[in-house]
Amino acid sequence: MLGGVSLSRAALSLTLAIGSLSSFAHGLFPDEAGRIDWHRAQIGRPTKIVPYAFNETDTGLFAITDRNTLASLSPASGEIVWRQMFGPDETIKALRVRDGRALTLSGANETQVRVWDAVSGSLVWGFSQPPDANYRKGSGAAEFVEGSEDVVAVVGDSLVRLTPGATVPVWEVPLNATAAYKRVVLEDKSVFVVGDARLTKKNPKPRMQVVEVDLKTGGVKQKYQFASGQAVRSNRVVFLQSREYGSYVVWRDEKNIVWFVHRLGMSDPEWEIYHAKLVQVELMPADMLTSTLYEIDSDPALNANHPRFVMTYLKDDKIKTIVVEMYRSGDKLEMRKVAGFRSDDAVVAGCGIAAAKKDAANPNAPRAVVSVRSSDNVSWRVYTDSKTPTHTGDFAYSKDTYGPVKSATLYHVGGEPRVLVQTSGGLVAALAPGSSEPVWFRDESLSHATDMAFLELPPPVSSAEYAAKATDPSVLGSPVTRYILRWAETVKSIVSWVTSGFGFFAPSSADAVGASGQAARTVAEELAPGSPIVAGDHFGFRKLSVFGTSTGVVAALSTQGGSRSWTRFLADNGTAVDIENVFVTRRNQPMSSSAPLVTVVGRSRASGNTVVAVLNALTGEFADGSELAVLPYSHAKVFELPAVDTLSNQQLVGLVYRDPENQTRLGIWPSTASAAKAFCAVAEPVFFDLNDGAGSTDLRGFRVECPADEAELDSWTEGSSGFVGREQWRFDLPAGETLVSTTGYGGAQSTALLGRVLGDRSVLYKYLNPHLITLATRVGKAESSSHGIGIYMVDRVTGSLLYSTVHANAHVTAKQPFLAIQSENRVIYQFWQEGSPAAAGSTGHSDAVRGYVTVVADLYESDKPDTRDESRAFSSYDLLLPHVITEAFVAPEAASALGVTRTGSNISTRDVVFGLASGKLLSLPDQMFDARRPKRAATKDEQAEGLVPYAAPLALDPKRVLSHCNAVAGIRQIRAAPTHLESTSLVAAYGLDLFFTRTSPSGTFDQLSPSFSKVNLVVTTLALAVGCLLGGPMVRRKLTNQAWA
Amino acid sequence: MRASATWSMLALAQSLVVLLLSLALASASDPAAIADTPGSAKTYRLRGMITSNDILPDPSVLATTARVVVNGGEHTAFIQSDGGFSVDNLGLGHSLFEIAAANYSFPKIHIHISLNDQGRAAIAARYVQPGADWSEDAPVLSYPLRVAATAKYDFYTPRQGFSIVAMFSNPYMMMVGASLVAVFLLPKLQANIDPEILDEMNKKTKG
Repeated sequence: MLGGVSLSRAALSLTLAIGSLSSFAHGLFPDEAGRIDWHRAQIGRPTKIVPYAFNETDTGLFAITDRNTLASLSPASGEIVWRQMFGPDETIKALRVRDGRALTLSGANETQVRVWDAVSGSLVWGFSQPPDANYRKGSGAAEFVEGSEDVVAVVGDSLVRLTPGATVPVWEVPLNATAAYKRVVLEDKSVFVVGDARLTKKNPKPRMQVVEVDLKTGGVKQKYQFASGQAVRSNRVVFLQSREYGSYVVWRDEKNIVWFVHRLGMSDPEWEIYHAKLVQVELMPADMLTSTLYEIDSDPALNANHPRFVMTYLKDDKIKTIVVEMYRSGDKLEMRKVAGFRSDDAVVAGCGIAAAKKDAANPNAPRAVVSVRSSDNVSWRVYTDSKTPTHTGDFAYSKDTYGPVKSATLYHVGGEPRVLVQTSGGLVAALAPGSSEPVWFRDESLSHATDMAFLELPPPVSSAEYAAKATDPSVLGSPVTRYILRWAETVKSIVSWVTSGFGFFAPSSADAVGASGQAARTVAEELAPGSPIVAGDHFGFRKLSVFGTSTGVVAALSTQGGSRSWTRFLADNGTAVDIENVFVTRRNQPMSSSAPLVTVVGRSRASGNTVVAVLNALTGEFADGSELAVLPYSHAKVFELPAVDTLSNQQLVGLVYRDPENQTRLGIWPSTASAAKAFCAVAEPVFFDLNDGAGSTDLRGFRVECPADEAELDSWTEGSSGFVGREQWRFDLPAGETLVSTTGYGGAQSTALLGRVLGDRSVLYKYLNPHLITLATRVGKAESSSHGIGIYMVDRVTGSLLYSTVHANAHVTAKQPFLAIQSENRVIYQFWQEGSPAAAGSTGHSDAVRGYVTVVADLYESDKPDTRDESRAFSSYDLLLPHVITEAFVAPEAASALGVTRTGSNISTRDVVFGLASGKLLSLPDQMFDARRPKRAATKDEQAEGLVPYAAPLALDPKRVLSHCNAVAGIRQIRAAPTHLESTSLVAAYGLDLFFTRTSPSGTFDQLSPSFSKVNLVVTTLALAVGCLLGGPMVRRKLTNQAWA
Repeated sequence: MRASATWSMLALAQSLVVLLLSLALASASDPAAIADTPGSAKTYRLRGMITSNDILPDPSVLATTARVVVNGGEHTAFIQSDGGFSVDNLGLGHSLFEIAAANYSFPKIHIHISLNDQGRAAIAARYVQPGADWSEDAPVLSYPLRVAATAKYDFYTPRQGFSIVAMFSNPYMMMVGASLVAVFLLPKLQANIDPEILDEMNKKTKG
């Protein structure tokens, strides 16, 4: 922990030496790119996938996702052809693809309509609607107008017709906030906009509202309401669009057994009734009451003359699915069943391909039906007109890895059908007939990663050690034996190398080995690896990164190359768990049979209660027969406790919650008697802070109390109430301020030096308080003249205020985030600021200046060198106030995440890593952030100390961009882990994309350069030896001659 | 059709503003497109183009890899294949205009949208340096904006191959060289010295 490391002369010397070397740190060598790092570009879970045929041979897949991304995927490989990331709060609500153009509508009140070139992904034209006071939440829809390049869309509170190149709409119809309009249906001469009518006292019941507008002039033809009790987006309502028959809405009342069919634009009769039993004979009234409807092929260009929808119902406790097609027989509306399935989780895809030409809609376009029959097999069939499937396929798949299949899409490659299945966990897999393996897959669960933990892997075991362990495991207990075995292995490999003709004649295995050092895998093996990764490397570069995601997926990936080790889908009552935290609670222990463990904490989407799972970190299986635990409370905070359960050798996890009596408690996991005793045996009491999240006006500190009666610990079970948390202090924010964020130290910290050695060899001692937390508050409202950000540094144990400041004119919004990080005695935070204090003699206007400001606060025990608190261990009760030195810098770009590198002993300098909005991972040296940088020419002492004269801008040096040419999109978190080499730190960035690399902030002083030639060394040594052998007799002869002379 | 009429009037007003200002040319500022919304403050559209140069010959490569960012992300805009862009819904006042691209560097621009005495919108754009004051003395850029890349990022450090000069400029090699001189050349020099002088020196040394 901080403050627990003594100042050693050796460490001081080494640090000074490394500090002097840091100027030799270099950028990435070209041959290192892609070898020491890897990047996985992602898009998020598709909310809609649209296959589109550019022509008879070329097809494209277009997707909009829940991470606000529009992407074009290669149908053959699933690779991203192009992608466009929208704003963090700009949900994409509509996607249409036609005539080589893709149309999107995104945003809420500030609506954006954009048309994209489907081939290149570039913006063709766009329209932006300013925020509208009358906007009703949920509004927004868009459609192409057939026969033109125009678009009709619901933007803000208006229906508009937009045309390329015009800055104003062709026409605009104000909708007057009478409904939340979510659907636009186009016919030849009319446009219908359908929404959920606003509830009033007069009409308190939900119903749908339609406005029919003349497509050419924008004149309102009629406005009416229908379908009492129904909402546009309901599982009992479908829209059917047909060029031949017009546009219909079909719905079922909640307590009715018939279908109501409404022809849009026709108010008399308002609806016709159709009996579903005519379609499915076995339907009984009770079955019908359980039925739900959903659409397929909502795009009018698809399957337009035979509109179809799907109904599922429950019969005899089994879910059944039928596909229904609407048609007209004379003047009479008819329905017929196309296909039916008896399956608990059948999913139906539509005809799946838009016609290349708008007049070539194929009435016989195939319909794909994908049914999941069991947890270990996806079977699918494609039907055209007959009831016999034309294509079938099976895919061995376990729901335990990515969850159940939730939707399917049909598309074609070279005339052959492909079925794209999506699971609730985030897997997108393309299946082909006749193959049980997917053609390709995308794991989009990791675009929803919420937390990540590094797991150290044991070094690889040589085959000699492996063989010895198999025969007698006890022989490996001795380090001498292991050393001998390793040498034997080395000698064996040298002999093998020599006998193989120095490697020149042996077949190279390099082709089959990737950058991760593992054999290349097939698609199926990568999706579901048969053998997990259990061994690391000698340098600690290869670890497991265990991700928790909000999609319920926990996945372990190798930090080298990103190979998958295992995947586990966690669900409570069939619903994915929203995973929030991942902790490594039992590490790999040499020569131990106990597997390492990860404890995953999340929240059930069904009940909101806390969910805990303990998994074997190497296999992903539930540990020791445990299972998913749903706790009877919802946690407010989770953190690792400084205690280890003696029985299971498992680190404890603390879960803070409020019981029904509003008492703050700390639950522990594992929640057993031995764990409870281990927790209470810890000498130092546990403190935690709690607030009501962003927007709260206070922060409270608690101390955990163990029960006085030890018998309570003996009887501790999973059902036991947690330990009582006694409120110790309350930190009320000043009036008008609300909390934005709290920042503490992420996990255990260590430091190599307790002080900063100055140029005159005196020491400025660091203020190393492990209980330091930094609060950021929003001061005033953004529109007020006195808005800003307040910074408070508080001690978690006593609640005492250690330092505070206010940054005027600073902003915090979703688009201009506040970022902060604590490292050793340094707090770094960044915010957006508008205006700065006027500089003397300034000719410009200081209130105009805008930009991101990075502030550094260095905390020292005293402002005087060689002055320190003499107590051996840090105590919050000593009431030692830090001497804080601050400095501000101008950030190079907008950033979305901050991180800091970590090395084994923290002797190497630390780099501060910025995740920039432009997709760069910028690593800047620690010395740039020194708050003591002189604002004049450095004195000799300052030069000796390594202080660089102050310059406000933090330069974007491309040589310090860890991600080099990769654009890492949507970085939300940056994590670092030490390796076995003191010089090197692993760095991981995740958000939308994943990026892993390693960096050496002080240079690779403990590694040989890759260009170092071992062959040259051997040859030189041999040459010297030969020289000695040849030269020896010559020298002896010369000496003899001299003696005779 | 109330709003449609409003649009038409605004479009006409905007055209007049353009005409007046282009005739006057007294100011380097230019009007931004006006978007008037009932019930909310007026907002403005900023238009511009990323132009090609030797550093970035083809701006279309930015269409899917770069964004226009105003005020650190408060407003963003996509880039068209010809390099064109438009940022909507800007308010009156000062803004920082940037182009966030993974591989190219662009200048930062101070945008000032203001109303002149006639109540018409005018835009003034100036280059700014990070960390420096935003001076009004800087020249105003033409509008619509024309922005060119200033550099293509070079992320890599080339490996240094074998260099005889670098090898001999190594201090260790210089020390080795000095040692070799001492071992091989000094005895030769000693041999060339007059024996009498040598004896004298030896005597001095012994003395």
